[in-house]
Amino acid sequence: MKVPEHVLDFLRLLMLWRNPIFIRYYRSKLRWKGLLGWASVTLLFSAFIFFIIYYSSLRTSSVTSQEAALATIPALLIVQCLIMMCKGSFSIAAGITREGIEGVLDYQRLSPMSPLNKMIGYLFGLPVLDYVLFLLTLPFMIFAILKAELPGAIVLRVYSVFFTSVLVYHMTAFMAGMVVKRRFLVGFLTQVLMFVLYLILPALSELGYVFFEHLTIRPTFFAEFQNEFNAWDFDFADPSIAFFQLEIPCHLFSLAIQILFFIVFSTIVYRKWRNENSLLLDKHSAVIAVGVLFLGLIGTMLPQIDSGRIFPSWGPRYLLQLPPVDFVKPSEALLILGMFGTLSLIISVLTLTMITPSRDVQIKGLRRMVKLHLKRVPWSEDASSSIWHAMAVCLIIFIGWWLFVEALFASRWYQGYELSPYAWIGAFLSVTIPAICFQMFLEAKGRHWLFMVLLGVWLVPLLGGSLLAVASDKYANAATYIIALSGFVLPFYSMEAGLAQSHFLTEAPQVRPAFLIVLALYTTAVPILIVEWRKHRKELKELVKQ
Amino acid sequence: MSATIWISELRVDYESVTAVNGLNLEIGPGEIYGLVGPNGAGKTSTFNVLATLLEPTYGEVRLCGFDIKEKPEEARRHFGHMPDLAPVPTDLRVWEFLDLFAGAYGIPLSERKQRIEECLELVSLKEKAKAYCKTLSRGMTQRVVFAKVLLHRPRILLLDEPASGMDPPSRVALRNVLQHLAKSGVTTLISSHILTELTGFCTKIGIFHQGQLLDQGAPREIIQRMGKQEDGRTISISLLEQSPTLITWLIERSLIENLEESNLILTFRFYGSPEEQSELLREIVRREFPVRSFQEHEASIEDILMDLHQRRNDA
Repeated sequence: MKVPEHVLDFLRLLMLWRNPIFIRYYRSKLRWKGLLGWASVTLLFSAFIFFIIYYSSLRTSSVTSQEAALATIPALLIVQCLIMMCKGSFSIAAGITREGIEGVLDYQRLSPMSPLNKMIGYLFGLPVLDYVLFLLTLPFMIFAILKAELPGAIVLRVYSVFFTSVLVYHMTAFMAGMVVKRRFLVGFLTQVLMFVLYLILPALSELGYVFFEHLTIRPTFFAEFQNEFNAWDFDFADPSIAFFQLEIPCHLFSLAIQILFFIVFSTIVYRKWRNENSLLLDKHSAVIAVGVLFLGLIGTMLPQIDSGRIFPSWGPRYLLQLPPVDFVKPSEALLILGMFGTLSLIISVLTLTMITPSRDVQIKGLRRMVKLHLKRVPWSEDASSSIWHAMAVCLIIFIGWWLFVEALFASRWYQGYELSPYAWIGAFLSVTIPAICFQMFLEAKGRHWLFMVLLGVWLVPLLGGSLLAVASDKYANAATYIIALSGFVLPFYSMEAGLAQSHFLTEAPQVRPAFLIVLALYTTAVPILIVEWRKHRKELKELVKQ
Repeated sequence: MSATIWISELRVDYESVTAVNGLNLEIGPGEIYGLVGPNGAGKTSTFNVLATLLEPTYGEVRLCGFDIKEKPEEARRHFGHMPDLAPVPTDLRVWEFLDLFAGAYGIPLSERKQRIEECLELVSLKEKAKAYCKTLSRGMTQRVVFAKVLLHRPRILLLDEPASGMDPPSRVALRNVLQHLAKSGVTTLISSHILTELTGFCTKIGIFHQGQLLDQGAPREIIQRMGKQEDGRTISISLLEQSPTLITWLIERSLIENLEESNLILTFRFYGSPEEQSELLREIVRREFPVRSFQEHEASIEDILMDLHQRRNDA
């Protein structure tokens, strides 16, 4: 039987020992001088951590040697995480930055290897030292696993998530290295990206956003080890994740989420590899990615409404061992609904930043259009306007948000309460209008001016209004109006305004007029921006004709 | 289409700046084509497009028959690109650097060592094979990168100012290698902002200015065309001592204009034929003016470009 050529091509991709880029790093990163130092430090620390936990457990807790060995596993896993996720990601970000600064990255662009082959070479080559250091920790881990008689299935599940997690972390660093043009900022931005993606977003799981928690190994670790550590309280670990009506094993769900992020990041790297000046994502893929992301978010949040885990008071109540929540305050509903809206808005503006062409790209597209006698720049091209895709993104995020709002009000927590029948209009406008204004301003005026406007219109009112609000009660009303100017808080206001209309909440009566006034202001800005946007397009066409 | 390098209607823009505008070019097998132009003329942009590093605004480029937009990976197998001030990775030895690209270009393992040695031999750096790239001088680095370019026996060489940083013997060696490769059918596109650097060995020269190819042809033709300077040529006379009589005598000549004197050097514009220029020199010698030397200034690339530009405008 003859093996198809594409299968062979795929298998060749995985043969790292035949990948020239991997071999290049294998040679330069594993020179004896450097390797000896790192290997000694790793062995020393791994041995120290293993033995100190093992023997101290045996002596002080009077446990069996099996339990003592089990106790060393989390610590060793942390060491492995530090090596692979922190040091490994840093190796990738620093390596790509160095190649970019030295100017040798272009040599690799020019070699006839496939982009996928090059990506694999860098992804496994740059952190090759870290993989070796990881291997050095394995004897201790294997000993601990064998001694603790840990089932092989658990080890397999934890390490499969561990490695996909490592790949996502590494791909994040790789992406930052390829995308950021100011090379000296790569290290800093990688750290920021890591911090947001793998620390801030997972922390939102306390508010029901369990989706993001699965970007880390944490849920799988707790889910898999909860039966092993009887003495430890892992009650909050879910062995399976509710996704709409389905119950998906925790490790499978983590794998799915991490593979999704890996695909998105790889697509960005692949595009940048093929063409340094291309946009981060093509427009259709970006809309699909947002759709899948929201499907994941909604699918995991809706089943949690009934248990009350999405409410901010759930976390402290659990920690303080208080009885389960039997009533949640309306302000909690406001917070989680507004937060979902704001998060949706942030996701939409980030997506729009990725797919909106710069002035340079637009000019190139128009020139090509004139040359090829086309009526318009094809939709699929980077140079085409992102306005239609912006609308699609807005529609997706609104549908996602509104499904959540309706599910919350249909839940047992708010029986008897109703949302205003017109609330959806305010909610719809509160996410779509800021996003559309953002897109048109970005396309017409560019990133620099957009940044200045965001600073002046979205951030300064938010900070200034907050200061006024805390300064004195007499400024509270003024602060409500000023804060409303910020696009980021409009979803909060829309919820509060919608609820106030149904006499659900009357604590802040000025919110509704403030929301309506600011919404009117934003709505007025739309035709002005459309005029500016058309003027900009006309100006570009004139420039192209010249 | 027999051209190895075929460019049609190429345009490259950076926002409102047009770097390359409507470039059409055909270079056949075995040709050494020199692209001459001042800094900022658009040479590097053209090279970057050919090397698939830069997406043009529009235009079609075929290298060995492969459209670089449709089949970039195929096209890349057939050319070797050497950028201006080519860098090398600092953490690799010379042979490791070459081995990386030998692998990337799919040279079988059994042939790699020999091929690397051959290329290092060509650039006279065999003894530096085990040295770290970071220890090499600028000129040596250029030569190592040139060896890398030759590794996969490309049919096209794209060399953007390859001689910058090289010492005179290395430059001569580079020329010899290029001429040797041309005989075996390798096409070379080489750029420089110094015309005389290319005239000796290029089979064809293109004058590039403000993103446009102003003129092209064999070096001799170009020089002859440049020689026809209806608006005169610059001549300078170096004096042994001050000579007011020579100055007065020169001012009286009808073919001389813009006479300037500075530090015993007289510079002026001469509007006569080469025969009249010869006659002028004979007369200066016959009258025994205190002259130390008599020199016609070669047209600089800027003069040539200005001249071509002027002629285009006049036309």
